[in-house]
Amino acid sequence: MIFPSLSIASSSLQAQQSAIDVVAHNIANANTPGYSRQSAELATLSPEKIQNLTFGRGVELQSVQRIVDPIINDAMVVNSSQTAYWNSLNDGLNAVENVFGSLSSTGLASALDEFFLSWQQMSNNPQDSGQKFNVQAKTTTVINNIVTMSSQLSNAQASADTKINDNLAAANLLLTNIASLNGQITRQENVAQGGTASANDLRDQRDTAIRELAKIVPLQVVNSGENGVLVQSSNGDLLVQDNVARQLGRGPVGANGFGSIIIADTGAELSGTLTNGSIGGLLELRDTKLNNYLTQIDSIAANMIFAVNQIHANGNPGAGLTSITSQEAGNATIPLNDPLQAAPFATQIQDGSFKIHTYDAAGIATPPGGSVINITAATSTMTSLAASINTHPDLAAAGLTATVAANGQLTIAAAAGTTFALSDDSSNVLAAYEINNFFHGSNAGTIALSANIQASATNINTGRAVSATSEIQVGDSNTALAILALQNQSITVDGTTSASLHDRTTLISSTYGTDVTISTQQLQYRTAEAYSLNSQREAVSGVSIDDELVTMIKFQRAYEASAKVITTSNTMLDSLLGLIR
Amino acid sequence: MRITSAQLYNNLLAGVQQQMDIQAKGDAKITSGTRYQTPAEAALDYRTSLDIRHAQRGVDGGLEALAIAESRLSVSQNHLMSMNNVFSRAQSLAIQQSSAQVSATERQAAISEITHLTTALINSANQQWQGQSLFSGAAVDKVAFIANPFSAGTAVYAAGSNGSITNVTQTANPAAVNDAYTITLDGTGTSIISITNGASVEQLAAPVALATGANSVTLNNNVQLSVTYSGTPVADPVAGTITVSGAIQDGSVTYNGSSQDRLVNIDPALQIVSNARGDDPAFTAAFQAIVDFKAALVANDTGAISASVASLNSAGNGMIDLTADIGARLDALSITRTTYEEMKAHFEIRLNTHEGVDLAAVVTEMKLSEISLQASYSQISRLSNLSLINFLR
Repeated sequence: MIFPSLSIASSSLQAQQSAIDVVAHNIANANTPGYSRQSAELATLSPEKIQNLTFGRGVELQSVQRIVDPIINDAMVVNSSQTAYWNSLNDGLNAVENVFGSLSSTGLASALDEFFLSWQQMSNNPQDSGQKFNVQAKTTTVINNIVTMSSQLSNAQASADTKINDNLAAANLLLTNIASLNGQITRQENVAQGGTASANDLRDQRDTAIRELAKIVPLQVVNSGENGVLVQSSNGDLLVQDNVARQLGRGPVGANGFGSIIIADTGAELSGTLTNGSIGGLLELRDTKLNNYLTQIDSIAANMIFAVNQIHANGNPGAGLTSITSQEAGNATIPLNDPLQAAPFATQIQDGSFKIHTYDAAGIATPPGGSVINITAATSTMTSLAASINTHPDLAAAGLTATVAANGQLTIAAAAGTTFALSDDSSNVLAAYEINNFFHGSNAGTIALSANIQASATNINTGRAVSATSEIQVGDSNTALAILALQNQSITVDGTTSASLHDRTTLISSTYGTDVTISTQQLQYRTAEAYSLNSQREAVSGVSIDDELVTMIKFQRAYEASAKVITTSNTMLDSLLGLIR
Repeated sequence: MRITSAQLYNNLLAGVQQQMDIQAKGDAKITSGTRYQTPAEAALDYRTSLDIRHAQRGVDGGLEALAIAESRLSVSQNHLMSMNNVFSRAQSLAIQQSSAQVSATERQAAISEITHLTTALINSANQQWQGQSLFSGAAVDKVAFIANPFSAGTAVYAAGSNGSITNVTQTANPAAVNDAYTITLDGTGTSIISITNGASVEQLAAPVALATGANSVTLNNNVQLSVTYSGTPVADPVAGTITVSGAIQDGSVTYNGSSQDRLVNIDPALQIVSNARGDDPAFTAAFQAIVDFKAALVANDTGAISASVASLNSAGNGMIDLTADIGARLDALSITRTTYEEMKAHFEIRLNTHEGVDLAAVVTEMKLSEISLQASYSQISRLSNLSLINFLR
């Protein structure tokens, strides 16, 4: 009857040893990300009945359990998506911070103030060519600011798009990994397939991979019947089923200039909008936030270009002009305001007229009051406009000619020794076709100084021919004053809400600042939530070295006691065998 | 709830990161002297900063414009005062020369002085500042006034229904009078009984009997006409009208500038006129009065000299009024400048208050954070001693 105790003690030695192995595994993985502590579940071996007595047969390690809380795990998956969304958005927004300036260098707002200040200074001394050079320099600074902002934001959009590609590559690796882990777990756990034990570590790896994937794409995770999981995007697109993964890719370039996100094997776009995950954040950054800033900057440029040109086109630089050519080309045979015209502001043309004042060699107006050229928006073409000028009796008498080039550009030229001036354009044709213009272009990407003013700052218009008398004076500052008045004047030419250029500029900065503030707050909130969830997970699944050491001592003591049982049994056997000797 | 050492370390690490963030932000605030630097740090505050700076820029521009306007008006005022001095002397001279005791020879001598005074007056009126004419309005590249040589002008006769007067020409116009004269004959059509000017004032001292051919007629204003009579009387008394135009008095002064003022922009909603324009009636009256006075001296016409005393006095008053008007505008500008300087100070204070960092608060916050940081470091160090490992042998 000594042998059963040896057998029992032996089972205990094995069980305690295995339990200590579990403890050792826990301690070894105390700092392994995603590791869930494991617990050795000991159980008595089935008892043995001898006569009317039941004897225990010892202990066995029944299972090794992974300690997890599925609710916390699910919450962590959701939180991973949300945190990654705000993180990528916040990072992307902070990366373009320099575009919006700082108090030490307020960027566009300051450049715009300087631009208008230069017009104010020139209006006070319109005859001073130095002031014109100052306006030219300050305008160049504004243009540089606008162009730089636009290109930096466009680059940031491209960079966000590149990051989307990087994220898709990482997501595809994770999808493959999850599918592979699904297969391994099924093989290890499915008794029908020869599986024998729970795949604790593989499940941890799968959970970690799912959380990593959720950081990229928001997910729904459903347990499948065969120990695998079914992974879908938040909008229901199947990404992983058992051991099959569907890869993500980029589709053809859309209207926004970027490729959509598709399921690679079907070519179908991902359903709905990704409102979470790092890709969701990058899409929000690229298509909403940065696009919004670009639209606002384009709007500032468009409004500034057209509003300034409207005034400048009716002015003069303190003297008459000898020749001027429209900087916008067009189709000379279709109406001036036809949307098919290449001139970006052609649709701004309306029924109206403008005046051409002609001056003889002595500078005397011939006749005083100028000649009216009428524009009918729906029917006037560049060809008919040139004909109107050429057939006007006063203009013909003054020797003024208008010609249209093959590309539709209009040139108005005075006879030798004479000059002319333009004024009173109520049709917008001069501004729309950049005749006597200050700016060239139509948005932040194309804005530039007009060719005439690039050639010489002295071509900047300061005054305006008096409508009734055609008088031109070098000290007249009416054009400069009217442009200065734009500073705080609400304007719109592009369907946006009417607002002053200053308000538009500060609105971009505050919109950006608010976006950063919101993303930072949300990121802090989600990060705090992540801390809390991690803390809760640690409380349930984390490895406590102290706990493990105590557990180890407990198993060690049991092991020692079992060994003592064997020693005692051995002594008993020795005693028994001694009786025989 | 189970607490693992990883949790403790994670919590302490999060705390350290938070305190480091406070230290970094505090350093940035102290070194910049502002509560924030970028729109990302304080969106609406940043926008307010831009608005204040925008307003400051406007005030700076306004002050610059005010300085320009004040300079122009001050220089204009100085030259107007010089012109007033010239006028004072001309008035004194006129009073002296109007005396019956002054001989014709003495009056001729006075012409030299009045010529110099006229030159001085024109020189003052044509003064430039920074290369720009002060009194020519927006035509700053042109001299404001031009002294003209004498021109008799042109005379155009419009024949009436009385065909006995075949033509009328102007033979002399010493005072360069521009007017329209209606010639009326008597009932028999043999003599001129009346020649009235455009204001219906009789210009004929006595009827003139007409002889066949050219008849010389001198009007009260010294204009001489040559009336050609056919010798065949016509009963209709209205002979016709002769219109004299373009006559210019010797030494008369014409405004050569623009009718546009020079505007200075204090802000987009406030524009002020920064000049006195030469077509102001005060200038016209001044030049006319002095030219008339000189003509009276040349003609040794005591009546006209006496009349010049009054016209010079009136014109002088006009110039004084114009000078006073500029003084009043300068006073108004001074008030505006004071307002703008106050606005400038106000915006500077507002900007400092809005952006400036509360150093005491930041330093206090950083000190508290520093203590927390030190405590965290200490706790991290202490945690390693609290492990069961240290007690197992």
